[in-house]
Amino acid sequence: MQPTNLVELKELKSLPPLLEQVAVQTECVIRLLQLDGNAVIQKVAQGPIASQGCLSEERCHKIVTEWLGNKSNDGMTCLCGHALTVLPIYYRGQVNGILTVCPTTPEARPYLTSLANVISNCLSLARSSVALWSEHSDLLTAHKELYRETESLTDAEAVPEVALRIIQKYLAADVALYVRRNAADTGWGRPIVLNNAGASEEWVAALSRVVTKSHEQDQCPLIILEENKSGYPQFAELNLSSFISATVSCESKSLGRMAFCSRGSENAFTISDLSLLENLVSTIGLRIHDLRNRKLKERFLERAMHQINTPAHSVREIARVLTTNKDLPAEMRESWLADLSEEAERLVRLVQQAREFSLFQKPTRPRVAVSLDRIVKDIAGQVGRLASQRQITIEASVPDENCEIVADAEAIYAALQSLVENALKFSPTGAKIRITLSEGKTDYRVSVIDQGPGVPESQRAEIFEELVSIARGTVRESTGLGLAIARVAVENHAGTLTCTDAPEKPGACFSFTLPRTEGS
Amino acid sequence: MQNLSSDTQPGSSLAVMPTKHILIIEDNPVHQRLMENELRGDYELAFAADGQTAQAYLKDGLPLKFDLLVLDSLIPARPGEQPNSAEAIEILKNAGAGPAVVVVSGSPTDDLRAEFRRFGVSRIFEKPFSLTEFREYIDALLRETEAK
Repeated sequence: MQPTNLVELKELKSLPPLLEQVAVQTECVIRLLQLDGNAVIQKVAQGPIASQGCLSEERCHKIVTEWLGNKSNDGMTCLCGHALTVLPIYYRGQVNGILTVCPTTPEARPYLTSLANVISNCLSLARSSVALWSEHSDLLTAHKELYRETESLTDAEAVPEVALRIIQKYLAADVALYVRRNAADTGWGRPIVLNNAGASEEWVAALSRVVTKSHEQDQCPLIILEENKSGYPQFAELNLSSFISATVSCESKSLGRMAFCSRGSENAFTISDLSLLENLVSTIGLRIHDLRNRKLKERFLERAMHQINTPAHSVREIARVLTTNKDLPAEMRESWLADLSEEAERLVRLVQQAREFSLFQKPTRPRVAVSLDRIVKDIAGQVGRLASQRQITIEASVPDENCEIVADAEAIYAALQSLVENALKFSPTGAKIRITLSEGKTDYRVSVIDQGPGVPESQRAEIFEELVSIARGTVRESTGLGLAIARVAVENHAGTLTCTDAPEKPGACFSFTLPRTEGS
Repeated sequence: MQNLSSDTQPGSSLAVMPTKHILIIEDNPVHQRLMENELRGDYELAFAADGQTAQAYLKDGLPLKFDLLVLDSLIPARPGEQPNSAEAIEILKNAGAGPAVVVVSGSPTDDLRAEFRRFGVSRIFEKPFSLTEFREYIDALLRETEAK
């Protein structure tokens, strides 16, 4: 595509011809609305496919109003059912207009995000940078190639290397290099170098230092050697003339630095090449994010299927054993029935807990004044009856004064109940469980201390993940949702949930904090 | 480690030489019991509820050789640890080319299926599955290996 008219862009109303072109090429439905403060004052443009009705006039205005309210694309869909993206266009720091985009092709989304940024820049920055950006007719093709080539990757961390090859091709770079930051942010890993033309190890190391330095200073993404020869003796060996680099980031965390070098002054990179690189590098970050999320979803699905199918298999097959073996000895029949009852109960519990887990993540649930000391006493009383059957004592201690916060009462009840039930599950007969509530300057702390086998330090990070069930002592695996419910409920109130050793070993101590409501 | 149908222990030889030995690597006691109920009598069964126990059974040089492994795709490395598929793959690596392998799984992802196939797994039974069908398959598989 050749959006040369961007060069002339001084105000939003000169955009429609470009957007029509973009809409056709990206197969998206696009509308542009100019805003005055928070009000839509003018419908500036609409994509040619809008006649399909996927972004009707009424729908579009509703979406903009919603977006202005919460500045989030979450849950927005257009009439054709696609997730809808609202992209703000800024002018002098204010939202000046909004692009509403129904991306019918997934690879178009990052491209359009880049487009919105470019339009913002066009309105705010010097015209020259706009002109240079528009020289790159390959931008969309490169985006598409990047998406296609990374689609089948199972390891998100392999994306930068694949991208390095693609970008090197589009930039016609003589040397391409990627240096990964170490995961623990302790420095830099070994560089990946393409086309190093037989350069020595020392030379690669020297170039890596230039790349990492460019990251740390974040101020020399484009180096033209003609202008700055003495500063870069590392470039002399391969007669390199220019150098551009950009940081690969995902979720605001820097993952590494990508750099490209060219030879000969006639092939020196321009600011336009840098713009292409920065656009594609931002897509690399989005791609890594997508693939990481895909992996997490797969892992979640794997665990969910395991947790559901395990008791389902037991229930079906025990029922078969019982119905096909009519002459089973009474003792054996009883034993199978006990297993059947337990597995059926597990299935029911799983369904109930899945509902709670989903419910307590919603930030929109009603919040009311709740008394934490009341909750502690209530839970101690409820679980106490169950505990006494196993000769387990539950002790609750709360401050004298009322500890009140504004919270989702049901979620806080469920969080504490999960922790106490968890303690009960792992406590030996005759043990004691202590529930304590204490108040700090800025928050309240609720602790549940048991005398069970404790949680090994290596397992403490994953124990709160949903659908992770770790057997401890002689206790069988659970649904894997109890502690996850406690975590989401607490985190949804800006609190933290931790697991440590009990003050007196053996035993575990699960504690959560909740911020004190102003004035409490 | 649970051993429900014989006095087999890792490193010991069987008192009675049975026709076929099956090692069932499954951490769920109810599923162990269901398999035992289905297979006992006709096969000599040993059970391992974690990777460590399974590996002890599969060590080179033991007199006990298994004709078939029944492997849960999610298995803890050691008692009390989180079940995971990496441990199941580790067991397959150490089992070598000797015994036939049948995997039972509640959640096989495409990647995991491919990995199991790469290690020559004969079949993946997806929970919930019919134990009758499972039994029929094992009978046929062991008859086939016997004929070879």
